[in-house]
Order: sequence, then structure tokens, then C-alpha cells
Amino acid sequence: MSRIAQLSLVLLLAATPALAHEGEGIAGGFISGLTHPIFGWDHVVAMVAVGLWGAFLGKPAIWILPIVFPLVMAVGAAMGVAGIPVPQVETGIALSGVVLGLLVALAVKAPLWVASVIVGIFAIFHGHAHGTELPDAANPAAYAVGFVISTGLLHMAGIAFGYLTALPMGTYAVRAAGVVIAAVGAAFLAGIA
Amino acid sequence: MIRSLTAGAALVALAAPAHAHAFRTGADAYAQFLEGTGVPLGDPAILLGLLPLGVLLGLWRMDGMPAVWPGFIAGLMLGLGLAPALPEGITLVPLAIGLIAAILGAAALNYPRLPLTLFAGLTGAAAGATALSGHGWGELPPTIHAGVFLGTHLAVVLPAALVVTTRQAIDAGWLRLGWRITASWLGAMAMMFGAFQIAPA
Repeated sequence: MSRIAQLSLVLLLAATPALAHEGEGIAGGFISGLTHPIFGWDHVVAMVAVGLWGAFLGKPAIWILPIVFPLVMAVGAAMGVAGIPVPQVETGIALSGVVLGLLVALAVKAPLWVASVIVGIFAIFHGHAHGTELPDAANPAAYAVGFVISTGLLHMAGIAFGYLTALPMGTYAVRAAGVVIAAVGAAFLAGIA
Repeated sequence: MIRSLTAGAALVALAAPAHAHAFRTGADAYAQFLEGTGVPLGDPAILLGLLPLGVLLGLWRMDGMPAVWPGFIAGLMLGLGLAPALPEGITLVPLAIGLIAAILGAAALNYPRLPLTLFAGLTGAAAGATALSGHGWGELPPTIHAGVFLGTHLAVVLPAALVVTTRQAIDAGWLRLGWRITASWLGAMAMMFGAFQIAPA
């Protein structure tokens, strides 16, 4: 039994990615959609920032912003898939990191509708980029499911981290995270990332 | 019996979405029933049109599903009956309705019963019509219709029951918010999938 376990472990560690099946079929489409937002740091920081900012704004923004972002992002993705052009997509994505990061860093308390509009505008850019970069082989339905779940989970990660604001020192940690996010966005904006 | 089950399961598993769902002929009644059941559950366009309605109804009221059930059944029967008269490629209709249901569910307001009943009927009609679009009157056996009827119900009743059951078990605001977020995610999926349907090749 022990030898079988050891052999299995060796085989698992020696396994290489099955590139031949990348992005194909339902499983491939799901994984492709799931990993697509995660593999771009400019996307990750912006989506986490949405959750962090929501934590600063408190209820109901903490839950409404993660509802607004995926829905509006899907509009952007639909525009991208349909071939409707959106100008300066990459600039908009990088700018979203800078703006949202600064909003978190400065703990800006914006009205809910203002926060929703800001988040919604940036969601269009993110969605458009993902929509135009859909792998040809990916199953569309599975890709959409994975993509939305991944985006939502990134928001959840931001919200979870944002709950640190309940602690005395936690607010500083969250605001520091905002500084890092703004810096990452600025790096993309300047073309050095 | 086992052969029927195997054949039915294989047909459900192999069912692929098509503009006109290509039902196989020659299968026995039970396999046909399973094949019909698999259509709403296996076609993302229909499924993403139905799931948000279930979440919406579960969020609306604890008895949300029973309250609109007659309207849903009437709409579904109408959709199944009128499917041959409707053009093919109406997959965007259930997706658009699913998106509206998702937004209504995410908003989670206290909707009046009559409009929601009519909306449930519209959802059932769109699902039934899409499931059987491209097939003429009398072309498909009643067992397929019965299967589609069951599959369409499963896609609405199960999420509604899940929402209600969890809300009964855990009376917490965060759970309700969690279901509202789920509704918004389903809407986003419906919108993206709809975009893929109309995207230029």
C-alpha cells in the first residue's frame, strides 16, 4: 500500500500539463474562464479593490458593488464578443487599478450611486478585454460560468480582506493594500508591467 | 429495463444543443422521456433562462414557487404547443428573460404577485418553445413533451427549493445577500452566453 502511495506521489509530481487539451470542451472552457481573470495582475488587483472599497463603504455597498461589477462586466464582455469597439481598453484597465487603489488607500466615502458608476465604468473595460480574448476552442457556456465565478470569488477575497477594517490596525493594512493596488495599476499604465 | 436506462442515460449525456434539438427516433418511451428531460437541463440557453427564475422566486417569498406555479405551467404548455409555429434560433429569448429574472432577483424587492406570475408564464413559454423549436406539430411523441415538461420544472423548482430551504434553516441577512449575488452571477452568465450566440464567427 505504501509503495503504491509513493509511486502515485511520484507520478503526480512528475505529471506535466496536458497542453493538447487546453481550452477545449466543457472542462477546458470552464478552466479557461476560471483562470482568465486570475492570470492578469491588472485584472486581479482591480477586482480585489472593488471588494476592499466595498468594505470601507460598509453596507449595502459591500454587497452591491460585487453585484454591479459582474453584471456590467458581462455587458462589456458581450460588447467584446460581438465586436463592438471600446477605446483605450488596456488604459482603462490600468487606470481602474490606480483609481480604485487610491480610493481604498484614501478610504474615500463616496455615495453608493457614485461608487456604482465608478465601478461600472471600469467593469466595461475589464469585460471587453475578456470578451475579445475568448479562446477559439473554449466551450462558450463553460467559459462564461468559469469567468463569472472567478470574478466573483476575487471580489469575495477583497471583501474578506476588507473585513480587517473591523480591527484597530486592520484599517491600515487595507489602506496599504490600496497603495499596492494603485502602484500595480500605475506600473501597467506606465507600461513597465 | 437496464437497457432502457442505459440507452436513456446515453441519450441524455450525448444530447448536444442545436437550433432544432435533434431527437432520436426509434428509442422506447422511457428513453424518449429521459431525452426530453435532458433538453432543458442540457441546453445552456434554456437552463440559464430558468435557473434565475427559481432563485428569484425563492428570494421573493417562502411560497414563491407555489404562488406562481399555475402561471408557469400555463406558459410552459403554451410554449410547447406553439413551438412549431415559432422561428428557429430563438435561444436569445430565454437568455434575455433569464437576465431580467436575475436582475429582479438581485434587487430582491417585494414584487406584486400578478406581474411575477405573468413573468413566470413568459419564462415557461420561452423555455418550452426553445426546447421544441424546429419540430412540426405531431412530429415528436408525447413522451418527449412530458420529458421537456419535467426538465423545465426541475430547472426552476430545484433552485427555488434550495433558496427557500437554506433560508428556513439559516435565518440570516448574509444568506439572503448570498443568493442575491448568485442571481447576479447567473445574469452575468446569461448575458455572456447570449453574446457568444450572436458573435460573428
